Amino acid sequence: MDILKDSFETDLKEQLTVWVGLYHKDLLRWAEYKVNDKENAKDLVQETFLAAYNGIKRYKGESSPRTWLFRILNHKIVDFYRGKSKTPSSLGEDAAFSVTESMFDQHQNWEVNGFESNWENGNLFDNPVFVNVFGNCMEDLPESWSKILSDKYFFEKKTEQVCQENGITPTNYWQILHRAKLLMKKCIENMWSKS
Amino acid sequence: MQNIKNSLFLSCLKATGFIEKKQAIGLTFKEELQLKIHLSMCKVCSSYEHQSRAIEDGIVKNYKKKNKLENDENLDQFEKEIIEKIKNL
Repeated sequence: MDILKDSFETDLKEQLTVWVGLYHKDLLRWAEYKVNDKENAKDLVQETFLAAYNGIKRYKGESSPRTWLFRILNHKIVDFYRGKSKTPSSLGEDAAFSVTESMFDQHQNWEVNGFESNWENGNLFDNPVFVNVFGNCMEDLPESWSKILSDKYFFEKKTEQVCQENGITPTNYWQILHRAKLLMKKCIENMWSKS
Repeated sequence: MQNIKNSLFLSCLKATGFIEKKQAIGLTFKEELQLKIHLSMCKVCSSYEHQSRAIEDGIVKNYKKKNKLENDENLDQFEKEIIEKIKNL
């Protein structure tokens, strides 16, 4: 029995070693972007692989290994900030969906809010306050939506890859992009309404 | 008449969805036509089209802001370290 167990453990380790080779760069880039520090990012990625080894029995293959590893990493990043009592607060998918629904009336036409013209100012991103608000709004996006955005815009993956990677259809894909942009719009306009 | 109206006229939620679909995977001929008609009549959705591009640019800018990957030599070392740790578990 021990021999069987040993060979199973060896297989796991080999599998994980392959994943380290394939995904450590992407995971590190993402961690660096999120925590803005090289050493902390490396620690988090290392912890991610060790956690993956311990939790591999829970991996059911519903999404790709890469997506699964990113989920673990993102949890580690949340824990990292919690330790620093600066928790990024992302919304749940259902709550986020409801927020975007509330931007429209019963006929699914816009609830006009008067901030439309603020967007016409072409130099929004020259304003550091706006850039900061924008970054905070990105942190509010549900984790699963943010994963699609990062695969598309951060890792510059093609549509087919993003869909395959995250186990979604092309229709899910553009609908998530749509909802994510609506939520960003809402979040930014909220900030305008407060200032 | 209601049916013709429904097949030609989109709600704003649908229209803005089509703006994103067009960009992401493309529209069918019929959808393209529906979107054109809607945008020709709806100022708020035309304005959304502009906002959507601004948000997209912002997302890209935000991601690029602080994204500097180490040189590959260091990363090889990093990779080896992790693999070593896994082996010793």
